[in-house]
Amino acid sequence: MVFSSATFIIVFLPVTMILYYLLGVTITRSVTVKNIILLIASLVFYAWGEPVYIILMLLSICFNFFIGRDMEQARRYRNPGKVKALFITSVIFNIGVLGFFKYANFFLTNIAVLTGLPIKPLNLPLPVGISFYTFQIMSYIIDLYNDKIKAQRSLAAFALYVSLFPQLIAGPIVKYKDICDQLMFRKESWVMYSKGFNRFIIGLSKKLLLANTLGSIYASVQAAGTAEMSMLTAWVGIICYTMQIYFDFSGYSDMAIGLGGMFGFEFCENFNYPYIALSVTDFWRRWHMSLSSWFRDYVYIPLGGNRCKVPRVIFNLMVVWLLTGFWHGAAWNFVFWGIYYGVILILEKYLLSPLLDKLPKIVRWLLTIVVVMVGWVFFSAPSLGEAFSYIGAMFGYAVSVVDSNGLFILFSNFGLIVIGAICSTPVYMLLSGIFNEKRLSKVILAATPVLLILCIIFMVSETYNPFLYFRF
Amino acid sequence: MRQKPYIIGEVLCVAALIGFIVWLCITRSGGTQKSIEEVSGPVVQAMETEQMSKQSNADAFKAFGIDFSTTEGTVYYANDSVMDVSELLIVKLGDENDAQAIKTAIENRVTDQQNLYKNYAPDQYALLQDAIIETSGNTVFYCTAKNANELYEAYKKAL
Repeated sequence: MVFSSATFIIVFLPVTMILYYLLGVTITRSVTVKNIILLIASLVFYAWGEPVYIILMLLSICFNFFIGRDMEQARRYRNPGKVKALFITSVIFNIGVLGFFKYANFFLTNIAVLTGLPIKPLNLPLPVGISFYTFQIMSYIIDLYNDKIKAQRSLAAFALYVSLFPQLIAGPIVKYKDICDQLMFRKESWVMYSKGFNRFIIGLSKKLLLANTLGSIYASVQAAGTAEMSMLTAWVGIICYTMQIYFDFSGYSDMAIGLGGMFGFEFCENFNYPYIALSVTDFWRRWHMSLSSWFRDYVYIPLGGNRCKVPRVIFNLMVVWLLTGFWHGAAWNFVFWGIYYGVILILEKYLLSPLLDKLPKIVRWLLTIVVVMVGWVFFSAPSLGEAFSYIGAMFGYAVSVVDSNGLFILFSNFGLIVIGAICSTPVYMLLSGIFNEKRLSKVILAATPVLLILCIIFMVSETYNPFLYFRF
Repeated sequence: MRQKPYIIGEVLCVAALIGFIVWLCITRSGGTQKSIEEVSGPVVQAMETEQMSKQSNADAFKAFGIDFSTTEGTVYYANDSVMDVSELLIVKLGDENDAQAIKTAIENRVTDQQNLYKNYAPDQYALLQDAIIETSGNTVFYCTAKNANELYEAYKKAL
């Protein structure tokens, strides 16, 4: 089920909300009842599209719950060997499950190509959200191993942590240590509810009004094929995709954070206006922050982080970025995308940063956004070859510099592109500095019903448009 | 205090997971390994009398609102006359999860065409009512034509 569907907004959410507030908050006032209602809702939400894979998620939950309890027991009985063995078992289990369902086809296909052996790929559908919930489970196991948290004693609460529907499919990747208290003690309030509702509507608007519309422009550019593309068309296309992926993913995160707030949870932020970044390093501090912090805490720092000699730091960075690329998808273009960012960040850290600091801000911003847009080409292209063809068209290897198709696409969508560009910046903060902030927030509050009506109109008239990050 | 035997739960979970994977591999990995040309070739041969011509990905985008260049392969044939609704679309997907999106787009296309032809071309409307939209593993088949059933049989054999 997707947040931007009529089924979710008209049926699923109101029913869950009524049950939660009526049975959980008003009648029983029990966190266990609240957790069970949310858990059942989350399982229904997950099972809606692909009921079979709920078995996989439940097995992962049960296995890691038992491992967690076992680790704590072993620690209590001063058996560090067993703690370590359980930790390694759990890591193998989780990486193994993720590897099998997400990467088996990729490896089998490549082995078949390299060796010429008649190996058939498995062609199993990818379980939705597997990368996200596996990383959440691993954050629990790693923190437990490092003795930073206590094992969860309630299977329902642990299952809810893994499967909580607002962030189950596409994050933010919530670390257990950040949410464990909220699983057992949380207080819902009207302030949180109304803030959450507003945030949800803003996210929904980002997805339906901006991301889907910008996405259809990019799709029409791609459909024309790179062979007949002018330089202008290629740039307009990638500008639209750059904004589409931001509004799509940050819209989902807004909806997730908003829904969390409506049920009394406070999730971490996932985006901080990444397209205003003045360097690639800064961009990655602002884009998909929950994933970056996961890799920082559980891969980069354990490898030694910055506190090593330069070659080792370079190695650590490359490992993290190779894994980041691979996490996004089992294809060579994602691997290349990861390496691309790894190399750029290393260059920026050790060579370019003193040089870049001397440049005017506008030049630094321009350089950053071009690097990011080139990165999105690798991300969006169906294959590495097509990505290079597209980049070629962007930088001059095109049939022409400007053509009528490019001009038509640009001018017929110019308003939308400008609105998208404005909405990618912290325009609200800027306006609240100029105008009275209270009055401004009242205006935004009043705009929420208008946005909701617009979203419903778009939702009814549009075809199925899943979130881009669902495939990860 | 006695130690709780969590190991039983852990072993049971692993055993169930192995069983689940085996079952999944037997029942669900139904996607074809053949290329789009191998799948669509016999279908295109069977429709020789249908007077449909091959269309580009851009035409397919205009018709269905989906960017087919991101799929593993797409074959789209349509009649050049605006008074004939005959169409054939075969898509091979990289990710089976995308099948539902494609199917929904095709269903919307068929509904739009039905609304368009309902009142002034009953024969074409009847063809649209008999449209075949099927997904099979990693492929999607759609056909509106007089011999749609025959083409569908050719597609099934080609998988």
